[in-house]
Amino acid sequence: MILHTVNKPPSHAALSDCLAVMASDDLMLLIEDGVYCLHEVSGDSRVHVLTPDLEARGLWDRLPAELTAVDYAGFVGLCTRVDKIKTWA
Amino acid sequence: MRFAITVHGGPYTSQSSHSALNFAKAVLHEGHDLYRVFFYHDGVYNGSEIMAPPQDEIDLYGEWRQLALDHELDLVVCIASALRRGVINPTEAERYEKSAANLGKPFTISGLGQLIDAALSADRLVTFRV
Repeated sequence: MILHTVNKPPSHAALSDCLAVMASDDLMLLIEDGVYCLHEVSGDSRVHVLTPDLEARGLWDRLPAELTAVDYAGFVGLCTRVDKIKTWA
Repeated sequence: MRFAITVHGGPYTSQSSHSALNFAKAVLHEGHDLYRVFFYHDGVYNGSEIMAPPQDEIDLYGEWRQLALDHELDLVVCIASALRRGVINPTEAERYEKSAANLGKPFTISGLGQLIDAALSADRLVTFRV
């Protein structure tokens, strides 16, 4: 079980590359400019979004209901739930 | 749980340094151990003690330094990345006959072996790329 972090907007290949290899029980966390991908993954309950980065980009009220917002403590918590963390950039 | 962190980004070129710093603080706040922070590629610029940002902005070197002093952290810059970018300690300055050194304490210079050791010794390795 892997936590995939994505820090690039949807115009970058990071998100599609990540989705191509994600297992059904893997988790994803959108961080930094990766939060711009939230509409591309709306409906995918595996996806989490880092709250401070969402707020910094004015997207707080655009969060799809199926996605989960987490703060940095939540980021750490996600890491403890998985075996390893893979960074897509 | 024991964490290790790798930082690839330099201050002001990406969000990598800030994300890694915030994550490191959260790891410690949540009661976990932070085995090592390894600064790779442009990440080595985090260790330059001669950075002088405006007082109302985050001082990344100062933040790492204080966090390391408060929690006895091991902050390591990659020697191959650091020498190429002019981030050196007094020992390397003498070895390469440079007139100054800028790597501030408690950062240390070491090799990629320290990253491998961190990956093997920590339960989780989290990388913050550019």
